[in-house]
Amino acid sequence: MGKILKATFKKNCIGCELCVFEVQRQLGKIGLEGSPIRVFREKGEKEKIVYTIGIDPSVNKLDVEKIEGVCPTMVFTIEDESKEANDYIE
Amino acid sequence: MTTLNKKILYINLANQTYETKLHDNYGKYIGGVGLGAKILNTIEKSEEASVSSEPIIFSIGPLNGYFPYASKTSVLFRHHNELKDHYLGGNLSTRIKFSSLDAIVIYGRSKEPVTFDILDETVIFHTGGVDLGSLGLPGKRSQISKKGEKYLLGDYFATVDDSLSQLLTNKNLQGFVITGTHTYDLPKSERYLELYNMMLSRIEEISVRKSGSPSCSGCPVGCFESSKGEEGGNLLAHSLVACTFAQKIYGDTSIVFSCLDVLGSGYTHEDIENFPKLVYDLLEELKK
Ligand code: SF4
Repeated sequence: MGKILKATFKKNCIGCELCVFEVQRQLGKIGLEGSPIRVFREKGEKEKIVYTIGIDPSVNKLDVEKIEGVCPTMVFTIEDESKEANDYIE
Repeated sequence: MTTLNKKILYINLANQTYETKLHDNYGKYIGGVGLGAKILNTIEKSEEASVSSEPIIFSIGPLNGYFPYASKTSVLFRHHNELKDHYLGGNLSTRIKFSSLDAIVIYGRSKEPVTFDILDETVIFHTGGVDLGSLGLPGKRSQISKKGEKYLLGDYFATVDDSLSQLLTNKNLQGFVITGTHTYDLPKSERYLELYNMMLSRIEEISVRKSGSPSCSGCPVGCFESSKGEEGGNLLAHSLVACTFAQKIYGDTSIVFSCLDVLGSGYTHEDIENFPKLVYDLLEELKK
């Protein structure tokens, strides 16, 4: 069964970009370009810094457990593909 | 990869021009404050140097983007003739790295309020008011802009005092954005990943507490202190450019040598051992 990486607790994100670097390492590179995960600073939030995490589905071909594990604030969860499909039907 | 050549982007605000130069004789200064000191020394000794040029040197080191806690950018400048070495958190260091640059030198003074936008090695100047938030590529950009009297990186990360803000204000620079789109091949040696994971696992040795605050690029701690910036401190760590709070790791010359070696940087043990004195002497000369 396929695994799906989700940024379930994105409000915990501290913007460290370790997830981006982990993904890029798995793709054999160092850098930000072409990363299936991107971390954005949310616009319009002036009082508190809030981050958004953009995930391209191609990330699910990688070692998602490792990506989940590198995040220091446990932003990510991993779900089964079938559960995702059921959620959609509901 | 070799880190012995240093690529520096020079930005002249007075006439809104720029050029990139590759220096093959700056290698032994490694990066960060060491490289900044060498650049400043060279500029001040050059015939064209003028008081009004007031260079501000943003420089990174060979480990930024490659290893955890190497997350700062060195900022070297003079303020009322006093030499200042400040260290800025946030994500600027990785954007400079992924622009394939080692340092950015901003000099001269603009007659009118100006901003600029760096995409790798290309600079576009803007006058007449521009929304800095609209410049650069999302997820790959870093922004320094003015909030009240202070300049902040990403609206959050500051330097230790107002001296840099005053200098940027005098230059009529409203702020700037940098986007880095270069990627580098993952170092081939398995030792790279071993070292990376070993350093990441030593998070308990970072002498600052987690607080859930915005963190610097490549640092999992998220400490409250990151917003305040740093000044002075360990010359080797600040040439890499690592965080002061990671000194237990980056103050260890054998770890530093292993990191540089695995990146194929070309430095010897002796280079690393002799480095602090080399930079200390240069900084003392600059202070005279
Ligand atoms: S590793 Fe976690 S905290 Fe860091 S940027 Fe990614 S999601 Fe945010």
